Amino acid sequence: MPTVTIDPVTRIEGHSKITIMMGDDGEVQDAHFHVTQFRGFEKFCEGRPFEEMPALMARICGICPVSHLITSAKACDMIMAVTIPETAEKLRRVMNLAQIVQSHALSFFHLSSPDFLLGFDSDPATRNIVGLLQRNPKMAREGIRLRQFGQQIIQWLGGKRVHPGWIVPGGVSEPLTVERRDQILATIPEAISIVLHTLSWFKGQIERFREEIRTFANFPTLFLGLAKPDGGLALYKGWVRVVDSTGETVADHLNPLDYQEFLGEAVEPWSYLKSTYYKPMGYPDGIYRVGPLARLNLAKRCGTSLADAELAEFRELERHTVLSSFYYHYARLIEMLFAVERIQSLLHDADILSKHVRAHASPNNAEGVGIMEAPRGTLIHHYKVNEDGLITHANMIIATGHNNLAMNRGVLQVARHFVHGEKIEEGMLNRVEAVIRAFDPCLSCSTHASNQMPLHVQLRSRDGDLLDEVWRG
Amino acid sequence: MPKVLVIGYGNSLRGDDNVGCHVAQMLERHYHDVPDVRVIGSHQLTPEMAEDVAASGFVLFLDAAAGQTAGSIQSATVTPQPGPASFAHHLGPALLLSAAMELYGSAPLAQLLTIVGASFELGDPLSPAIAQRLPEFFEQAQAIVESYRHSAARELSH
Repeated sequence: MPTVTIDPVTRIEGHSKITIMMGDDGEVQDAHFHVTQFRGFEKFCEGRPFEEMPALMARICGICPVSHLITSAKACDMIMAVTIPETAEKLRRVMNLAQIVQSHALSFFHLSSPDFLLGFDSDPATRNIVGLLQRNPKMAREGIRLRQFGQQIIQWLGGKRVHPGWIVPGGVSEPLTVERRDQILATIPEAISIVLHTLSWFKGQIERFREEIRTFANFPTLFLGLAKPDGGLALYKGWVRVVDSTGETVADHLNPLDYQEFLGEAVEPWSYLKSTYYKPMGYPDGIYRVGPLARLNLAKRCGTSLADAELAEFRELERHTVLSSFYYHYARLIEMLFAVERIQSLLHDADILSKHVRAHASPNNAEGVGIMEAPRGTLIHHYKVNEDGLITHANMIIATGHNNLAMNRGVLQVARHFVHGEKIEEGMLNRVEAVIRAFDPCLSCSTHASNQMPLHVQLRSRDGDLLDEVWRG
Repeated sequence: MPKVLVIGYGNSLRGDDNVGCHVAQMLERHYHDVPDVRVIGSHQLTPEMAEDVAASGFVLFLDAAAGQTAGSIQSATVTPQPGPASFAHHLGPALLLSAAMELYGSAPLAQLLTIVGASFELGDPLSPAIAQRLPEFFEQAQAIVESYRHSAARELSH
């Protein structure tokens, strides 16, 4: 069976490759999305004092450190058996929302918009941020402004843009000052204007991508994420909700602490990334998606005026539940709008400047679970400690693991539509990669090295003989 | 005098991958009171750094490299190059310079100083081999910064 291998996939975080198995009739038989980098963080943190975990876990990732930081801190709150002060919770929310903006901006503007602007068949040498700059410098600048908006808030609150140490077990280490609050509020109008402008532009482009919309991981799955008790969008705290592809509720008000009761993890020999599935439906039928698309599919409302208006329009795309993963990009824009609006409302809360921002306690529980919505989906940290507060067991379920089954099936769907025969076409390669990029996976933070990350494409016969090979970069 | 920007980058939980940030911290202490030298330590290069890059007269990138000879130090001039696409969420130095040129109309002189790492496994300490070479890596980075500052000062005096 001839095999097409794309290794590594460009413009996603971490190390991965895609293998497409061709049948003798020249049509695609199967496809796998491999993650070949071993994470190992769970073993790495055993024996560490639990108080160190938030700062340590934040260093997993350079793009979403705040998600790991807050989720880890929530697990530690539970180990300490404390309810953190309300103001501390609001400040954590602000920082998480700021991260949603900066992470979604990176994904939309700098990784994916070159595809929208230049087309999936364009020259890969220019289909990148510089191609974006040349084709639409205003959009590139606006993307950078939104990144700066989110990162500046993280820096103002946490002291630095990457790996801030301000969020601690029990709350946050310092209260918000009037000056900082006003600085953040002053940046809100520009951020809202940019997101609204970009939403308008993107909605005008959708017709150009009907074929990609039809084939980019467009199939029925479950959708899973946090929701408020009233069904509203929840990013920091909520119950787990599961809906099916028609929008019907499959499960609601699931206690996040019981995640092992409803989530299973399967291991496949071709990937280090575990495939998470909804246990009551078994493996692999329990396939589900998380992240922006899932969150908007399972939320009844966002809870802010502008985002709710956009959500209503979004729902009309596919008669309520939106199945095409191409629309992850659209969902990111709506979530950015919600995030900016919500930051504004949180900063206007009367007690946002309260000095009571941290609870102190020793370990009182032998284990703790933290759960939150990270930019890419539901993030779970689960720790067990001994009586000295040292970590004896850690388990993390990251968004990319939740989406692993859907990404694999998405690659197969795209490959079946765009790959024919044994010739490697550039447009085909990019569409296969682009379906993965739609999920914006963060496989692990890369060990990077200069000039060591070319795109490698191999075409192999059923016997493993190399038939064709392409290096890009 | 035109500003010097030093950017050390790498993953702080991946052993020698973080050597660029280690030396950036050493340079930050060294140039703490020098207003025309700014030092950034970062997990990776990202698009918004283009603004700081464009506002500088010279940029020194400090990074780890993969290779056969651990501890081998190399310096190379970096010029703006638009492609190919970056693998991950970070940019390469040449692409970042290109972004600075396209966005803000200026791409400064730049050099990339790398040291070949011995271990990129999980953990925050540097490997013994690279820790031993750290003073040399720092001295070479400092020499590059000083060389640019002296030539810029000469040009100004003329």
